Amino acid sequence: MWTRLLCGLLLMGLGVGCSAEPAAEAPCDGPAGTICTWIGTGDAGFDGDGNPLLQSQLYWPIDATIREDGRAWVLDWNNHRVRAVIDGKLQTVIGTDELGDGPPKQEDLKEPGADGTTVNLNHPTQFVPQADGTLMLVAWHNHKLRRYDPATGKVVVACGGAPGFKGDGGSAHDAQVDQPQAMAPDGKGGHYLLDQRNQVVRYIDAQGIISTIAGTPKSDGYAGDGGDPLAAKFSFPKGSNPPPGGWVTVGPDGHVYVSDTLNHRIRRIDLAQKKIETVVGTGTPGYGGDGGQGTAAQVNNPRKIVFGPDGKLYIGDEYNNRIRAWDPATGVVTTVVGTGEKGFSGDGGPAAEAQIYRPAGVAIGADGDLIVIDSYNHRLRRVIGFFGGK
Amino acid sequence: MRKQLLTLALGGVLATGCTDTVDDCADRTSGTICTFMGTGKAGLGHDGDGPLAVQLYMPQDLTFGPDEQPYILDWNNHRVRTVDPDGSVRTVIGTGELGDAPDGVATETRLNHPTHVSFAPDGALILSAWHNSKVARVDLTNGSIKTICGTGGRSYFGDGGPAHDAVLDLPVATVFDSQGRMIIADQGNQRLRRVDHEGNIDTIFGPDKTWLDASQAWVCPDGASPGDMACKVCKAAEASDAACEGQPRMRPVGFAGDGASAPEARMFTYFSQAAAPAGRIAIGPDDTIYLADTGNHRIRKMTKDGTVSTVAGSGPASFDKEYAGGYGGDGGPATAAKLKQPRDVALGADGTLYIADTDNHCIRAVAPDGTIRTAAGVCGSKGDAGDGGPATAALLDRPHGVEIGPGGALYIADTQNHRIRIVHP
Repeated sequence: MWTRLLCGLLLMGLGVGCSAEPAAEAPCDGPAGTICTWIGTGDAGFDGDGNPLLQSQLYWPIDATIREDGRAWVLDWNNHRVRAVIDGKLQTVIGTDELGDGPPKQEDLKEPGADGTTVNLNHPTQFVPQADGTLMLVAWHNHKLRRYDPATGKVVVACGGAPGFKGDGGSAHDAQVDQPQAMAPDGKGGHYLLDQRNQVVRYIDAQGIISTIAGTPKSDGYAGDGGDPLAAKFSFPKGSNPPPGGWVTVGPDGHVYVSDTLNHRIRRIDLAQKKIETVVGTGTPGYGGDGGQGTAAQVNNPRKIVFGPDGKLYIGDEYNNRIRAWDPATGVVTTVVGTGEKGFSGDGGPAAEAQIYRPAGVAIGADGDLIVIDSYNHRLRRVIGFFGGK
Repeated sequence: MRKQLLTLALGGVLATGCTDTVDDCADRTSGTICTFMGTGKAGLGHDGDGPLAVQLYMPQDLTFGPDEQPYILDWNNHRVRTVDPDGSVRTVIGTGELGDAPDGVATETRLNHPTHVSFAPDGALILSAWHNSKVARVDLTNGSIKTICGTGGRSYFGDGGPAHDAVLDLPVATVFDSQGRMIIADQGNQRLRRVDHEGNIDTIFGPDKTWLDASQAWVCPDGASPGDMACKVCKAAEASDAACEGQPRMRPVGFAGDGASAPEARMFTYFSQAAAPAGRIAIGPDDTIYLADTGNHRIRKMTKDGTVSTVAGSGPASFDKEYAGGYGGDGGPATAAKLKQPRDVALGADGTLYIADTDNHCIRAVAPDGTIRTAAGVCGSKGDAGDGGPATAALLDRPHGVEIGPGGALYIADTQNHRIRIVHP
């Protein structure tokens, strides 16, 4: 009992738990390009909502969504939750203390849906703002898309059911997908969907009709550069219990970009020309080529990709413990965050001199910040004014 | 760094820091409950720390090995951990990353939600790699892991052939009978299967591979109703039927077979992608198998001759998937009592049957004379309280596992409290 008391006394005195890393109380400040921890103690776990961000535990965060108005959500992957950042604290908006697929009586299968905090999840991967103010949850290991309405807190299944590959040509609502990892709006009401275990990119048009636009269903490999995207092959993690992999985003040029994780390439799809090509990566995992052309550079297990307001593509170069950037204007690749050495260090200093650990990627923050999804450090980190600020 | 400083600062005065192993539950009188492992907060913590400093995340169960060490199923950390004789926690199986449980070095394999550990007669650790749909053997002397049953696919296939080539669906637990044969609780398939000495697998509880009965009460996954196109009938041995690839399968769920032989017996343990662990088993010295028939809110048993009966729990005489179970009956016959989604069973040396009465948030005990009582927790009340006091005044939160340890102590996987708790004998 005295140990408990002792810990309690220490808690009161120091504001930290026995196994918690010290929380940086001072707000992070510094010149543009300074990295700081935004959310997370560094210890994997779930210590409840309502704590200050630096005293909140995450567990392998996989993404974050930040709207232009500053509202933000964290995809707290191994805590099986979507958590909103509200007044400097985290609040679960979808997910429960349990693991599963929907609420106990599956009220989210039809309108008006179920309260998000009754909806069990299993490893959600992305939360995508929609034009109507709702957000679409990519419920990866539930093989579903779930629509969340922040005005009501309700969640409704929008796509998927049992895992499978079905439904092209029909309504996405009735289709089957298999561990969808990410989706990207095309700006015309449609979305590209990275359907991981099906090894394809699918498209859900503005009317809700689903089709396959790239890849060979259920067949992985590397094939097709220079040719028809529908004849191409991707290599996303497969098997019965794959780790997350693959990503899709749309460029300012309107092209579809795919993070082809196990091919260690970033590929670009020109739908008008019906052509797919590699823009980053040689196909051999490794680290190299900074300052040179993307097609001569090496990446290692690329994960999330997203374009910044500067027009560059930011790549979560997971096994290189770095964030890379590729400039489509020049074709040149650079490293923007991480020394390459896995670890946690560098808060308060330049981002390129900091250590990160298996980053899933980045998110574009408010006020010109770059948010690093520092997954294996169980933290989200912020590079201040990376894009020049407001 | 601050942690180290703290420990240093405290070291001189107190000899132990916060991360050291200290049993803070001084009262070891019979029936007192304490925390054995976990801080109460969901997390991973740090291997090398003591069991009371390390975090767990939804622990499912634990088993003591021949080495008398506990092996803890740290479910949402996707690993198996133990507490070494020096009091430090160590991961024995799994990196924590998701994967298909590849053979090789046990600490480098990647699991998805393992649920159970047992020990083979030769001392090898047998892992129910639940969501991997595999049963694997771990040689603790050299730290290697090798799949011995299941292809990793999720279906029902392979009876009559080698276990290695068989297909399981969420194997949740294993036990060994007195002849050394391994029995697998094949949760999603609603069956118990057995691997004989030649390494061949067969079904010993539930219908065999020829089963196809559209009139049987059954449930479709993902909200579909019987009769929906999604519930297309596939033959029981559908793993070899290409037309059924990716199709929802009929499962022989039900409640039947009490007083009859095992092929007519039906259980209801959860299935489909979103299933939660259910339906673990225990075995007695007379080879009677005890099954937590979770969805029927009963404990069933199957004697050596294959006769099935209910030993605890009650409910509608015929299968009713809407029946939600309940709480009641302490002090009376266990077969008149109510349970609520029991997930696990364990046998005490005196023949007492302990039940993880999960959704009642308590542990029930059935004495050899058939009378049921509550052994830990307050049935119907969930919470996290009571360490240092009587177990029956403590609160638990959805305990999924129960185990009898060396010396007869009762260990509880207090799942949603992220603790292992101990009731002193």
